[in-house]
Amino acid sequence: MTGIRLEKTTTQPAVGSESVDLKALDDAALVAEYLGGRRRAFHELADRYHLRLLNFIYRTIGDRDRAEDLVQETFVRVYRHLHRFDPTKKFSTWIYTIASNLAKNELRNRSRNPMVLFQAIKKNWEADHRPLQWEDNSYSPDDLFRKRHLREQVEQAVAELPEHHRVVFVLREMEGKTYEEISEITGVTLGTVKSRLNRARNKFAQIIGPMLD
Amino acid sequence: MHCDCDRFIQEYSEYRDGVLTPDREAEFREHVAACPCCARYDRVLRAAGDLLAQLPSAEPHDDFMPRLQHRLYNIDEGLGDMPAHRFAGAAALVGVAAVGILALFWLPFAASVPVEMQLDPVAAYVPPPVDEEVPSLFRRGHFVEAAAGQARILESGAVVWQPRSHVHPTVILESGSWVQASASFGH
Repeated sequence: MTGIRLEKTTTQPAVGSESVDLKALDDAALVAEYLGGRRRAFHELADRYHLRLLNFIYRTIGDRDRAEDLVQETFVRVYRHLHRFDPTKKFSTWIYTIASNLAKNELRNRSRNPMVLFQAIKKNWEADHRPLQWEDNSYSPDDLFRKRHLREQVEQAVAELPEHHRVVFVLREMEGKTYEEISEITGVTLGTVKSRLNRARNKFAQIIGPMLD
Repeated sequence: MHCDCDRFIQEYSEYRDGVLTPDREAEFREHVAACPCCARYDRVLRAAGDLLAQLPSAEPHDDFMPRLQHRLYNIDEGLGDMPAHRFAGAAALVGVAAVGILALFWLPFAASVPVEMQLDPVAAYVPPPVDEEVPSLFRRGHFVEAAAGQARILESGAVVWQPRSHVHPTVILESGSWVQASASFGH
């Protein structure tokens, strides 16, 4: 008896194929592409995350230039250990965990070697030397001043939160992470995440409340 | 179920983030509507959340991606990953260490190796004292002055030393031994 053997064909390009549009892929697929030999996939991941990580670390440690160094370090570590990444987990959680650990180390090192943080000194300087922006004419100068002042107060209030609370607060309020993701990133239990977040919000409300009434 | 302010504050995050059960959430809404303090608390945090969302985003420097690509390239090439300024510092440290180690091994040898050097020639001339006795070959002193006379060899084999100055003695040497060592004045 003779028969025809049918090969299963697929219209989807294989991993590592140059025809795959990297921007259309999710993180897990990009990791697979990179591990399949397509180097450009890593650059797509870096494009996707560098701004978010910069803001997360900056809000956590309060030093923009140092935050940029730590984002670079985050990507270097990801690059070195990408082959160890568990594809059943979320890539974003993994990369935020690395960034969070680097930020925590930075804060720990600072507390061991106390020094005057330049960022704190030049805070007022920065307010007056920001790049010129086209202002919205629909607001009066008083409104614009009040808005800018409030932003500065909010930034200051975030910076005043205790370190453990600040990380959780930034991840939830500014990065929009779920409780489970925050738990995984920070390495603490779900109950601790809720507790820290609640305390952080309470403290934040105490600082910022009088200005918003 | 009664919802008091303490409980509202303690569980506010879950209320705010929408992870309460529907029943509990309904209780909290009722409480916010009835309690001005908790209503203010909720209003402040929601307004602050809006402000947080409007904070200007930190932008990376223009060279962020080129720097990252350079570091990744170094990793691929097995050159190690080290920012340029750290590499320069490490290289300087290695250089200083190498010089120190070389000096440590070289110093013991340096002490035992004779050093040869050529000094500039020094000319010295001591004029004979005026009142001094006529010098003798058998006395201490500067009795031979190469530039002050000349030697002649006689047919007999004797050598006659004839000084140019009249104050110096004439010396006659015969081959093999001394036969005369007298001093005479004049030529």
